Amino acid sequence: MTSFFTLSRIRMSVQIVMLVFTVYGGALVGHYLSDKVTGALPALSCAYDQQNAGYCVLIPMQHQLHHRVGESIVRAQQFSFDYIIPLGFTMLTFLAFFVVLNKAFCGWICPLGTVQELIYKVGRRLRLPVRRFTQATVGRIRPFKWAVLILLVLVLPLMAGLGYTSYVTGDAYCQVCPSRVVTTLLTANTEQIAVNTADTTAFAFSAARSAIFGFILILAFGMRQPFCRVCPMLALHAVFRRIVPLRLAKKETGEKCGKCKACYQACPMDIHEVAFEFGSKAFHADCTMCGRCVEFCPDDGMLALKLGPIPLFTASAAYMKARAKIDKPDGTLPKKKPAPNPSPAE
Amino acid sequence: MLGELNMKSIIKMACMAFVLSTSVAQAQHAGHGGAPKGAVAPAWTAYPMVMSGGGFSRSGAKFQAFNMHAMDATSYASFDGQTAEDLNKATLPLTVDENGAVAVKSGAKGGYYVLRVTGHGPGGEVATATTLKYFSNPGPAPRDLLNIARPGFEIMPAVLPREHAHYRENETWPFQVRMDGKPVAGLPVVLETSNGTKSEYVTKANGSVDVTFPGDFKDIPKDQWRHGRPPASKFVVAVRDGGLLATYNDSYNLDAYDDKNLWAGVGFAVLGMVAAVPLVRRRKTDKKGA
Repeated sequence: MTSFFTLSRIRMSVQIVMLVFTVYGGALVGHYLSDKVTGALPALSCAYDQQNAGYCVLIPMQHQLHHRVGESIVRAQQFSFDYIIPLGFTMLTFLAFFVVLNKAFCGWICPLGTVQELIYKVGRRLRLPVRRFTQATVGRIRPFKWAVLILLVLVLPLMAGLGYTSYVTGDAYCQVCPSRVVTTLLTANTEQIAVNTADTTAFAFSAARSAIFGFILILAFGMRQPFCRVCPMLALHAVFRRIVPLRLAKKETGEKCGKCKACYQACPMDIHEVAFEFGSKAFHADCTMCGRCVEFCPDDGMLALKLGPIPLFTASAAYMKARAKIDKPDGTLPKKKPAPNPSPAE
Repeated sequence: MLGELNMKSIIKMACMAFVLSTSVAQAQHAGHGGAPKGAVAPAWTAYPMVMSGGGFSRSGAKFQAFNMHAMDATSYASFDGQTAEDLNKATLPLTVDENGAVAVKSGAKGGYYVLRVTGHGPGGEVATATTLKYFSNPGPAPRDLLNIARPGFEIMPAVLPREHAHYRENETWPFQVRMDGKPVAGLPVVLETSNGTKSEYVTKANGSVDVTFPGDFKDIPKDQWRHGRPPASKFVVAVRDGGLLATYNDSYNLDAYDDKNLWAGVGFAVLGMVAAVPLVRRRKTDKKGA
């Protein structure tokens, strides 16, 4: 691999292609639901985007919990496996995709992840300061993604189906998802940023959605992947990450490892375990498999992206040396060497 | 007493309490099945139509023909293919009862179904009333279902709103007029809505006609709304050619921006941006560290 064809550049190319495909791909695959690549994509490809190529798995999960499971429990006598089967198929479809790329759906496919990453790159060009969370803060933030998954994706849609909460909570996560605003705005549709004034709950959710969108948009200039840290998709991926052959692998021991912390500096999710833990513990639930830690690891073979036993990309000191000329582990651009002073004109 | 409460009995009690508590919630779901409203012809149009007659479930739905003496009905399930054989496989003759009621079964397949009722219109003309129903599971896309050459005179949507989307006020959608599968140009097409709007269009050379749904929703009390929006309004598009009359009827919803405030949304987005600024702006410590 030459210094031009770095993993980061290959990944960014894939991300751009996938951003175009997930946001505008309906022109290629078709207009109707059955035309879409899948209705259970393990990335935030929003169904409110009328031109997309596939739907995020969180959409059918919420709808099925709301309209099938919840409502069938209300009509308790009618409850049968017929109501559970669609949810089972949704999860199986999700797993069929997930088993191919594991958490790389976050780092390589997700349109919201790509947009945040592009904004962060702009921030580096503007020489804005980089903001990172401390280990303690990261520890406090991590449980939020589980809370979002459980409360907004699972519990509230079920409660809406049971009739306990407003219909708006039937897709509670979609109500606040910033990808809904980002992807629709990319298709010149402003409907999803508008505030819904139909009732109090709808107003609260839509106002929160717009505010979260604005907050993430600005925060991404200085912080890497701000929304990903609380994204329920990250949590859903985390549940299944160990069963997929594609993964981040780290050696069980290493004397030099843990000293330079370049992998930790490179990690957009501030995962300190990648520097201080070994073996499978280094592949943390928050990992998006972007591969930056492997790129910036100077310890030959210490870190690798592996498909089962097959290494796809392995850490090497030579690669890291060439890679570091493009940007620093935290994405900061290297300072330009001052031009030599021209000799004074006579 | 507490000693007698083992885990199994606690779970059993919790389940019973949960099921009992759902009876409270049942009232909130009342009316989801869409009870039949009787066979009273709608007053807003005299054109033949075939409308939902209640009894909708994931496996089938009942329909009612109005403003016509209905004689035959056919359902076409969604399919992939452009041949007559493909169409035949998707075609199912149905029985219309003496009151004009007809039932469509979706079977296990789901997806889109075209329902076509033929008979005689109010003026004695040969009338074809068509509508379309979407059952939960996607099935094949309706492209071929909409565009295949079918015998007879018809007006059909050229493209449908995607699943979970709707025709909406102030939107323009294409329809297609065909005679035995061939486009018919220069025919007047009438749009009538249940909100009282009537407008006319003319088919183009390729038989297509772009119909704009009017912004004619009236204020509806919020206690009549369901799932955050008022009930959909009905429309029919009708076209005549000599003694033949073809109609397509369906429903349309409020304008996309009705009960929405774009500027308030932009305001909340700006509020979010302002809240994030202190987190990304340069600080004195940044300069020291630089």
